Amino acid sequence: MDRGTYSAASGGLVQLRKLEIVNNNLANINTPGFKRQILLTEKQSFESTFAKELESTDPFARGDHDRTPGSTNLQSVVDFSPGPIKNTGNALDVALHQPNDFFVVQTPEGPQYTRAGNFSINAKGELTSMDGMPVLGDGGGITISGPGALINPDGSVNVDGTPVGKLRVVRFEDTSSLMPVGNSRFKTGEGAAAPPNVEAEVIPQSLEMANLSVVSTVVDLMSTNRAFDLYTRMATSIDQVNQSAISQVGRRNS
Amino acid sequence: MIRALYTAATGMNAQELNIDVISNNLANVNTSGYKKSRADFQDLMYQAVVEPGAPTSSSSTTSSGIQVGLGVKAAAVQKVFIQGDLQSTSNQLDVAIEGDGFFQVQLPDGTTAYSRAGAFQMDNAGRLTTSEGFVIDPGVTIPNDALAISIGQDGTISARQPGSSTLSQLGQLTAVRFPNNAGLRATGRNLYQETESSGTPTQGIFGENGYGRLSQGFLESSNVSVVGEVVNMITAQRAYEASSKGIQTADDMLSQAINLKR
Repeated sequence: MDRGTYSAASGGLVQLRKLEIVNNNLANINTPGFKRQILLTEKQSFESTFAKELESTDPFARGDHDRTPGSTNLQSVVDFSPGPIKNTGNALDVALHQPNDFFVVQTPEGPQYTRAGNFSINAKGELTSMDGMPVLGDGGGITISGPGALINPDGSVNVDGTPVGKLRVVRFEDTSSLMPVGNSRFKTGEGAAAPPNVEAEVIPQSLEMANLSVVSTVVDLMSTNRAFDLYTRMATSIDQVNQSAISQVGRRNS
Repeated sequence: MIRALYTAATGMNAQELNIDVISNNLANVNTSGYKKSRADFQDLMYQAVVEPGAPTSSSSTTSSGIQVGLGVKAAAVQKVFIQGDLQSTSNQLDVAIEGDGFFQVQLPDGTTAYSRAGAFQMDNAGRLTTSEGFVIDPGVTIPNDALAISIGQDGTISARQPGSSTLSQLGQLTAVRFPNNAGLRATGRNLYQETESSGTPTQGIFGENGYGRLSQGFLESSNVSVVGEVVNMITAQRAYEASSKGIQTADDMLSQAINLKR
């Protein structure tokens, strides 16, 4: 069969994958601390393919038999650019100033990192994430025993003027090792070095919202749809060419 | 493919909840003592279609793989206890709390609830009650013939009776605070109940040690800002719309794929 069909199919499959990722971005447009994902592809350039064609000295050889047609080596990457900061007036909401800083949350699977600063308090008085995982301070968890909790711009937590702890903030110079795990958190790969602690710089009573806009995401949707359209048309055209080849080539004029 | 459909559907569900919460806030824009609610969202789990670090050849691996998120979920709906504006009513039984703190209310079933709505009334026995008729704890009885009632900043209630030129003290309102106000359970009727997440209440005196002080003749109006809520509503509606487009796109692409076979 014609290689073109497979190239078109491969292009179409990439668009399907992209749609899944764009839809996930869209669903999380109001999720604090959400970071959008992008699908990266490595496409084959015309130049490299053409060079391969020229390389083959045998006029009958098709120098591109060994390559995979279409897009290859897909990767989803997280875009860690900062989202807009929304003032909420809630004492337990904090947003991080620096784009590569993260809060540390203790989960059953080990420490995980988040930029969602909408914290709460559990039954034991510990500061937790919205789903009840303890948020780590300088020396373990932070316990808020009394009323009047306040988080300061330097990350220290006061209860009625008495300091009870300081939020631990870590900085990733290279965020590419962070993988999303859901619940607005990220984890590092197995055996990765722990990120260094930095001086916390937080914006009290505010939340960082998702770093995507409705407009750009809907544009992503449209471009995905059109690209898919293009690939299906490509497959259909190739099919038509094949069909005419089968039915018309060699037909005798009566 | 079907994954994309469900993912977009979770987005629509989440925004529906968001609109529910916003509508309730808007409906209570004139409810004194009302505190607005806020829906908090989190992303759902990620499915690794290609594991990060999977080999792409004998000598190379992918750095991040392909991780497809499965949408969004509501993590919590919490109350936001920022101060509402004080509104002058000149009613001597209206009290507003300036700052943190709650009144204690005894419910008919014997349990205790907490409220910031200070539109008090008297029942037929002269007891101070909420506008619903629930008795304020500790109970304060105001004599029938009281001429003027005064409620001090610290919650002291006194009244002047006929034939007397001085005010006699009748009782004092108790102030209550929680470690985490946002963790209180809102039961409606402007009442809140203690939960594990709110922490245990501590009692004190109004106007002291971080407890808010009282203002007689004022009511704390709802802390809902119409502009803020309408803006939230617009973003929620657009997000809902965008997610619905996500479903449409998934449907479109699926139908194109099916129509490949003519």
